[in-house]
Amino acid sequence: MQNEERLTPAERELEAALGALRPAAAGIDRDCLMYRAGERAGGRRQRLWQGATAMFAVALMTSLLIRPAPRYVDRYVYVEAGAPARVADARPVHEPGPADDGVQGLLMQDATGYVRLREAVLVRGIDALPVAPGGSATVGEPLPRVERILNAVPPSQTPWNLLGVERLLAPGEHL
Amino acid sequence: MESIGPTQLSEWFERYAAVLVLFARYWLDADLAEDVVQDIFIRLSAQQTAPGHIRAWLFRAVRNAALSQLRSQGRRARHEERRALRQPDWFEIRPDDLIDARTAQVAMASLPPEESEVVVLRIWAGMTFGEIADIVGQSVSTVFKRYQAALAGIRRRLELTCRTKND
Repeated sequence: MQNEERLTPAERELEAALGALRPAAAGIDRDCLMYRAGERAGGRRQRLWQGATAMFAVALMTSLLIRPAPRYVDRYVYVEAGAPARVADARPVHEPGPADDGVQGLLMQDATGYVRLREAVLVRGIDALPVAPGGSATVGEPLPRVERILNAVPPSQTPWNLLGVERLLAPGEHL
Repeated sequence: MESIGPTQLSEWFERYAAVLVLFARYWLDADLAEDVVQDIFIRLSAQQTAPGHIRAWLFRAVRNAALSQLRSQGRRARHEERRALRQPDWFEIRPDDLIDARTAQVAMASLPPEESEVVVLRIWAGMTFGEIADIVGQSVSTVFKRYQAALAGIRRRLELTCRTKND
């Protein structure tokens, strides 16, 4: 700044006159330049990806070649004899209440109960189904499920009656 | 530091390309000077981040590239008036200019290289003497002396031209 102040008025005048001259426009094609610049930048990115891919390929090959042999480990698992199955340990699937006839409760169970019942049936078979009170033909032997359902529904509400099938029959005709 | 996008590169090109070519023309022919400037812009676009002082970076890069080009060709540019007159115009010719553009070109071409580059950097690149000193690698006082000497040389040349025209 101090040097700029040391310029004489004549020098400043000449400086201003020269500064008024405008440099001739460069004969460089701007679009060509931008294209080449983009090409170069793209090439750099491409080389970056190629380098990264090659590096990962080498790493993969190295890891495959010097992969350690699998180790076998003897592990003893002690299982208590006669231990109940895990699913059976879960709380009872369905406990029929005094006003519950079993099947209706089965039908009205919530989603959680259904899932639990399903798991129990998968593990223990059909015996896991709750027994309807008084609905069994033989004491201690539960009826097959379909029969139990049919027995539980009142005669006036048989499934086909519920579906309106009877309306299609001729008067006096029964299923 | 920010990355260089096409918009920014285009903006810098618009602002500095003409002065950079003028700067490089002192050492090189017009075509070579344009090639050097173009290469510098392409090199700039390949950089991850923009230089802190883009103007100084551009002029320093062009200066180094032009001098390197001279060395590789094994010849020095001859600063003759005839040669300057044969070259395409350095400046736009406008009727309202205070100085005739052709005469200024001849006067500039008659300067020693170390003086001419200081004039271009000072007048058309708008740099301070400190910034010029950083680029040319000299002290500020040396740069200032060169600038004064260059102005005196140009003035002499212009006065001579005026006298010749008047005679």
